[in-house]
Amino acid sequence: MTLNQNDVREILLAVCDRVIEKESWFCRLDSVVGDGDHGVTMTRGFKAMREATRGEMSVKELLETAGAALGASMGGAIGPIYGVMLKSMGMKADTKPLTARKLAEMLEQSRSMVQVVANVQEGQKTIYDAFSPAVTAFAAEAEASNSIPAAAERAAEAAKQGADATMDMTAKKGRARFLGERSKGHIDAGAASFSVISETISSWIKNKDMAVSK
Amino acid sequence: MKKLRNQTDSLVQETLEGYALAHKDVIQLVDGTHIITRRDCGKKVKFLMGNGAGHEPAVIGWVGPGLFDANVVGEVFTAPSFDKILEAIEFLHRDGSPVLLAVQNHAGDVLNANMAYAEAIMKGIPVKKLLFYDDIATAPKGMESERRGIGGMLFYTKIVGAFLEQGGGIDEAVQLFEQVRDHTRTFSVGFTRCTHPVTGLDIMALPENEIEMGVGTHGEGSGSNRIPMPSSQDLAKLVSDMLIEDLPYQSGDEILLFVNGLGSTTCMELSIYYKDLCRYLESRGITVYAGCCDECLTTQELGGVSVSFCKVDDNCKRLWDAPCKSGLLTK
Repeated sequence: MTLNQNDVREILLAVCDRVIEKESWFCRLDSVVGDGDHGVTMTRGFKAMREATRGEMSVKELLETAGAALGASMGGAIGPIYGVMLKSMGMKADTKPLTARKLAEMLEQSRSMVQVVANVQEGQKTIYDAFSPAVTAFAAEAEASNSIPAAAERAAEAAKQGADATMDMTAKKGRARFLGERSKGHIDAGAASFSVISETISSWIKNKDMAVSK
Repeated sequence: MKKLRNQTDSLVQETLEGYALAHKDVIQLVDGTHIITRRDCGKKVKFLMGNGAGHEPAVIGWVGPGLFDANVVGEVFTAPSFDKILEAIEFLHRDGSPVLLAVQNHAGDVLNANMAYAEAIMKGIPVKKLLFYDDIATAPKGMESERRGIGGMLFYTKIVGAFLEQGGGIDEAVQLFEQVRDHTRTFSVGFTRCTHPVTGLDIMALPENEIEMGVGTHGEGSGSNRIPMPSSQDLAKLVSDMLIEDLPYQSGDEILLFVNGLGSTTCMELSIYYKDLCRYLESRGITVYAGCCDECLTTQELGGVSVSFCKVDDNCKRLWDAPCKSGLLTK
């Protein structure tokens, strides 16, 4: 299985729908340690992304346009992070359909750019605690099998585990860090939204793969 | 939630439109943007600040002659995106003026400002960036640059604003800013909750008769530091002692004092507290040269108050006294 620009567009639309569906849950998670508007910010960003990516585009253009739209419309700390995440994947894309190994390369690039821009590490109770393990898991599976459905599934599992693990962490970044020990016992909203996105992508790919094999 | 509003997605736009109308002799909203700018502004080093909405009347209330030349506003409690900050830098630079960008130390503000700053430099715009931090509740002494920027921003807004209005250069302005920042300390206390104007969710729910020491600009606590509601005199002593010890401020120092209501603290309470702070500082040998006592940098209808001290020399005193005009402050 490979992914072309139509697949990437459909994945982005599926993610957008799912993010809108989860808006109030993201807000509730954020209200424990933040100001309770993560869902609002996500919905605003992904709706803007949906508008910006209408029309014929290559995979590279799609990802770069989607990233730019997220960065511009979301603001806050999360806007540049999601924005750079997609934009830097696009920068590594070429005109050939995407294989698992190519996607792994794009994700590695994305991880290093997010790290530079947000100056973030694992264990600080942020989105990076879901994102980084997902990239690692995706790359390992891509290396082993070069299968997109398998790699996406491993990534979604790792993202979920990573997000759940933020429950016991003390925040070191962003607003939540000022809660100190009180930030424990709650999942980080950014890590949760990334986990939901990973799960959505993995399901879409699994369905597509099953439809194609039939 | 009972809040006067129309659609939630146009809250910021409508706030800016309304505030600009109410102060149309001084400021205007730039068409198609979230940039509030002063009406009459010739060529000078332009002073810009970007921040989330929901904290009005700051910072839009400090745009005008002798203060900020423009303020770019993000969504509610959300830093403006880097391209909006860049748009504001380019707007101020269109007559060739250099731009001084002030940034409060909050994760989102710093991230977006850094990206806008890098982009502006690549476009050849002369721009400098200032990072402000003053909240002693958010990081221990010795880690000052980790602290967040809150109410003490009034001091650099006024002092650096006046310096630039008088034709001051950008490098000297940066030095002056650092002097003001390094002599400023703030501590904030929260009394009662507020409501997020978009989601309707509660921010900082507190038990009756307890206050949160070291509350942040979005109602977030700094730790489990809750105490029973003290008297104004006791709180004045408690907060002053922490601020004095942190810098430290010494007997014989002259300071500016800023008592800032967080959204629903009455003028009566603020005045009583201002008086108690002055009395206590006097007893410690510290002179309050001048100050400000008002609801400025708010978090919707949060109850509470922040106190900021800034140690000043003759130059800073002169600049503090210089004329300015804006929605919030006129001298």
